[in-house]
Amino acid sequence: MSSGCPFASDRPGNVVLVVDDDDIFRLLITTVLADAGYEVVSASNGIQALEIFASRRVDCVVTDIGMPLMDGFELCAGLRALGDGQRVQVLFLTGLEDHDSIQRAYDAGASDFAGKQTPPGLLVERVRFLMRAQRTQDELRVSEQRLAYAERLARLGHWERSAAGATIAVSPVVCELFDIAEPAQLDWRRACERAHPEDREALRSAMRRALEAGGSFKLEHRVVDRLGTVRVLQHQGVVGLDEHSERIVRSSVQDVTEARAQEERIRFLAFHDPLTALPNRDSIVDTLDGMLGGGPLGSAHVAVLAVRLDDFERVASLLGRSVLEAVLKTVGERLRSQLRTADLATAWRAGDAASAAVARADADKFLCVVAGLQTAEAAVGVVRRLQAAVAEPLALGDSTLHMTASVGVSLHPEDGHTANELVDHALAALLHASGRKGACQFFASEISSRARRRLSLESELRRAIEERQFELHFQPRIGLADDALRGAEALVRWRHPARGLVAPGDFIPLLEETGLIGPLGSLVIDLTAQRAAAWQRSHGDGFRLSFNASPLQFGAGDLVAEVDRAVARHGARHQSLEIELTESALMGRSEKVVQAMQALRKRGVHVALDDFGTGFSSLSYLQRLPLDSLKIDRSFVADIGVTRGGGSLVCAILQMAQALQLMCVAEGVESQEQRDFLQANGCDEAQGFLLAPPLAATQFEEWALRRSPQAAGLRGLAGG
Amino acid sequence: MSEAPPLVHFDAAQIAMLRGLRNGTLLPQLLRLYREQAPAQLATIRAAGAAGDAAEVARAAHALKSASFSVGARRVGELCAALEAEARGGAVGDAAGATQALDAAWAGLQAELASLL
Repeated sequence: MSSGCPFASDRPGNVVLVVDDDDIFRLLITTVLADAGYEVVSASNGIQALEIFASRRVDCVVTDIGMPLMDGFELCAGLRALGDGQRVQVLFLTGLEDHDSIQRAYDAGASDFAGKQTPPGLLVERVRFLMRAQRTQDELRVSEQRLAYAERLARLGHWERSAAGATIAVSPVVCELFDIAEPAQLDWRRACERAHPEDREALRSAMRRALEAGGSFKLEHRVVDRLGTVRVLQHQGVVGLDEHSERIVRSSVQDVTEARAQEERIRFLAFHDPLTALPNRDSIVDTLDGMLGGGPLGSAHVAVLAVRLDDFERVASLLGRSVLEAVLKTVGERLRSQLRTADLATAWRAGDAASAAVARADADKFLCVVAGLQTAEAAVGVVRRLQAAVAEPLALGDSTLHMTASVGVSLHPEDGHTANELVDHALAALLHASGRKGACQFFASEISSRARRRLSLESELRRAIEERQFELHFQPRIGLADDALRGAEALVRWRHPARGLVAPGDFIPLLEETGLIGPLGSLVIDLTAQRAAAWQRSHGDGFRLSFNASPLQFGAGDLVAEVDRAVARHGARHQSLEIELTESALMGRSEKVVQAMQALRKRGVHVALDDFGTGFSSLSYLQRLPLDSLKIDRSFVADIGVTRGGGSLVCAILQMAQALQLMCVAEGVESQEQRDFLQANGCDEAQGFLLAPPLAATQFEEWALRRSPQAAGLRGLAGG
Repeated sequence: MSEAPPLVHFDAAQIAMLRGLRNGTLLPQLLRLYREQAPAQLATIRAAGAAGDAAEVARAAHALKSASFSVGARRVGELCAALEAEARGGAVGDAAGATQALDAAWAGLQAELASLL
């Protein structure tokens, strides 16, 4: 028997303690029992017997009643008061006629009695019977102990109660689970009080239904103990009848907290990547299934993006395992936050609710799912954002890691209808892109061709910038009072090698999205300065060439420095240049932009607010800006003479400009009526088809020549 | 043990039972103990009876009764039982008579006792 066992020995009882003050009788009984195979110890009075009992194992006590010092009754009562004495069998030997003694013996806790004259052989049988009863009792006790032990281990117990809820029988462990100190205090009402408030009604109604239908119930509910610890119990029971045909509820209660927590961990591991805690491939397939099955998607697309870190193996071999893990975590987090930003939601202009998810697919790959894309092309924008997020320098101690990511894209519904199909196709596309860093590869299907067209447009634009395939067209600006040429607005055009001239609306947004607007902006400034240098000679010092600046140009690079460089390179004057900024360019960037505007103005560059009236500039805001002129948006000019009072907004703008001492230029002047109106109301300059459309440089020169032979002459002189 | 005469003072069945224990070695042990201890109990009964101490008479009679029945000394045992019952009643009416009968029974079984050893 191992020392750790919590059970009493279940070795068959074998030790008899004979207590009698009569030496002859004691010798006789001792001998008879010893011959019957028992181990016998003897005592001649109660005190001696108790001493022996305390010092060794005794299974059965055979005692006389009348003894000096301590009689049999006192001995028996003394034994029953001891822990071990409660289970020992006590056989009293008494005169058969002595009914009072028999009663007293039972009161003192006797197991049995026999007449003193009982033949020794029969007495042995009595002892044998008592030993067997003892053994059965021990076995029952051990089995109960085992059950209680098992119940405690399994944290499982049974509970029998009346239909009204009173406890009939209950395992101690059930009381523990409901945090109730005494079985007597446990009833249905108190158990329900321990139930978690959110689960209480479920528990009650399960019980109610079972009682009404006479059936069974099974549920899991939480309990909160007095310290606030929450545990999960599995509680099942059945309504039945007891031996008196009373309705009772027999139930089992098990603490499944650990099991549920373990299952939760397993479920988490089954659906998540343990390193990044992102969902894994199976999980995102489920998510995607949900998106695809969640009702009509309308015309919106769902994109699956397979993102792979370029050069992963090289990076992995350079970095230690722990550093690599940190890198992967960071990348996962960057992808996740990119997909989370509200900013991104506007990128696909979602009419539908946009939703997105990211998962880690394997060592070097992540999977992203983006729903609610209004156009297939929008997926490219998302890809570029994700790639930009990965490309952000990653500080590793003293050094900085630069990474790029390649992305394979599949689109729903074009490239597949099931989640698995889409994921497979995105991964296939990625495989196809291998070898190229920072690639974006669409799954080759017919219908995603628009997105691929956009991709090809993007690469064409990159080449266009490198090869300076852009040229400027010029729209003249004249003074309304004297009809003199005051300058021109330079407008960028893309001369596509195959498609010819491409309008700005077809490529500017894409440039802004891809971050190529900066290089183009620099090119425009350079070309403008180059042209301004030439034309300041032919058209005089007052001639100003304006160029448009994108808000994004203020973000990257130094606009002022670029203007300076261009001016120096071509020998132009700052005074011959004008920068046009839209109101939206000023929004949210005011400090940086205002500083640039002030610096430019200090150098003599004219600063104009473009598309005026379409933004939200307040008068006080305008007043603080370092401006020279306002360009009234064409939409206001178009209203002149069309609607009653159509010109009133223009008048208001003109008055305001006067008050702020700003020059005014009207854009989109297309009719003589508009021109007359503007002139009559004090507008300084005009630009529009009535005067001239945007013209290529040579056409512009011809136009100017036709208009003013004198100016042409001057040009001839200057050129000569 | 051959052709022993029928027992008068001892219960034959009890003696036979005791003789069956421990290959007959227990019986002489018990009888020797009986022969050693009984005279003291008898003396107590005599003295207590003379002194009118009923409780002491009952206790000694009870003890001698047990020992006597144990060894099958039926006649002495029965006398002791009667004396004990009487003494437990609180009075020893004919103490001298009872004591004399007991002494006589004790003396009477000596020969038989010796023969059983």
